[in-house]
Amino acid sequence: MMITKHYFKRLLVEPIGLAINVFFPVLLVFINVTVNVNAMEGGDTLFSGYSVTATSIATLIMVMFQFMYGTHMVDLFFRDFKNSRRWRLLAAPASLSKYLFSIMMASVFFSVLTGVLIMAVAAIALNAHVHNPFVLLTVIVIIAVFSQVFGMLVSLLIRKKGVAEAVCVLFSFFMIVPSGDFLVTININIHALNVFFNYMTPYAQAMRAIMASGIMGNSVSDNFGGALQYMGRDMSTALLNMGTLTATTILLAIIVVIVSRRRSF
Amino acid sequence: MIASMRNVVKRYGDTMALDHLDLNIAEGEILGLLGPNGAGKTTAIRSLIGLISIDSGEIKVFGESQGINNTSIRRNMGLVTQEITVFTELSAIENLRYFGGLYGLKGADLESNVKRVLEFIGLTEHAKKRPSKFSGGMQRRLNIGCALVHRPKLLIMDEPTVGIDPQSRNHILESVKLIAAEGTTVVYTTHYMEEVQAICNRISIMDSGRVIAEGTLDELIGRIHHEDTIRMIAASPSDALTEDIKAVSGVKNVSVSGNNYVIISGADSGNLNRIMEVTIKHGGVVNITADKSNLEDVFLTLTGRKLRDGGEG
Repeated sequence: MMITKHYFKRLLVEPIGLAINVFFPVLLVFINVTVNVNAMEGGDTLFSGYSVTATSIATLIMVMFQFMYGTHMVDLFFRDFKNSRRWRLLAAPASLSKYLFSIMMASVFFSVLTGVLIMAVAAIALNAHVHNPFVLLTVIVIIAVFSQVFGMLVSLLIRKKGVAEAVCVLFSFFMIVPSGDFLVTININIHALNVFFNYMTPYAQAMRAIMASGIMGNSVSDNFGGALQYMGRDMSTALLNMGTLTATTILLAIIVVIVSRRRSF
Repeated sequence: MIASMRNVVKRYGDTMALDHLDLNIAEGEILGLLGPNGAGKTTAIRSLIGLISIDSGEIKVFGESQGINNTSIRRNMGLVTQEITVFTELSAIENLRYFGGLYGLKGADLESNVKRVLEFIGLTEHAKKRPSKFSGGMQRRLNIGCALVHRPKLLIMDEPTVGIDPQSRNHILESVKLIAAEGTTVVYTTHYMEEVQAICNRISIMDSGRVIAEGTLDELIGRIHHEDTIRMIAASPSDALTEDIKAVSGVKNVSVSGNNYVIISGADSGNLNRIMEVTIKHGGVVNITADKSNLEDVFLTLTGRKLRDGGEG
């Protein structure tokens, strides 16, 4: 617990890290919602009194950044175990796995707090709906764990810190952009790829789980029908996607364990 | 004996980092581990702490077999790394608290030890500042302090004075003596002979992965047959003075340049006083010094190479 507290403190005291990981996504939500609402004829669309625009954008940006937070694991791992500090830390009566688990726990906790903060600010200031709180919180936790496990995998495979961090960030973009939810609408004419990016990526599973649990249902563009479809509250879809996301995370963790046994660092 | 290494072998690919290394560490001593870069000093201490596995041999610390999974032994060991490895984003006191906590200290015990170490390293007034605000010497002191919080029985210091000014170096050397005086056994690795000469009770000289000589400073220097070089400025140089100096028993060679005399004499021949007496009879001595054999000479004799950077002698 002491080691976990130590790593959490180090995440909190880095001003640049806080700015990029906490304040920037909140700012991005505000800017995006404002720009989009202003561009809409007749103003924002309300559903059960909540802003559809703010709900969609806040959820998207929150999930997008959650998938980038593997950078926490990369940053702390490289700073402590890819240089001479490694010897000092391992000379203490604590195993490497204890340190790595502590980094993961601290980073998960930090990520969850950030995700909750983004949604809370969007709910209070922009009239966003927070969906089913249990589902939202659970999915945030699962994504946080997934991201740290992914960050660990990247740290094991890539020697340079900058490259490893870039991979964590780009991984998020490469899941989201082809789905058509962010920046550009992409028409993918290959059926298998369309299904993959809209249903099978961790991002797609996370978004479907969250959105299905709330008032708006699934907001992912459906290229088959060519129209946005609202499914309404659908806990079975939410639970199904939470389950597949959890299974994906567990599979990734198994891969990390296998890779870590073959790699020395 | 607080620790021992017997016939230890460690290879990195085709490179023999430790070549049947034997090393004993007596309780309470300051053992100097001297050798050029690449001698195997760092590999030796990392295997002693249990940070790396060995290919064969035996390492015992506090009576127990050392290994990479034996974390319990490490509770009573401390490591001062060559590089500064404190956390620059945390204050000095936060660093000390963390490292103390890693070694099992808690609550009032932790706080009292942190306070003690802050006083010892002279950073009490800077406790709440971050190491990024410190000078190089202060950072080095904090680096040492983090290894002392838990009062280790065995402290390993891996070239702790690299890259710092002479004043800070002297402060660190004095601190090492104080640490040992409080009962901590110290293993001090360095390639600076002046440091081991200043503080170590016993010295092990390493080269190519093995100990090539060990003993006290006097024992090591006494092992080699070497010459003393006496340099003198005579008040009244003359041919007669030169002949009388050459006639002194044990003098092997005299070279003269103006007032400057360079006299090669057998080691420990005691000729410094005799030459002074002779020169005083011939008008007096302006200045006289004798270059004694040192560890550099010991290493050179044993390996044919210089101690600094392992270059060719």
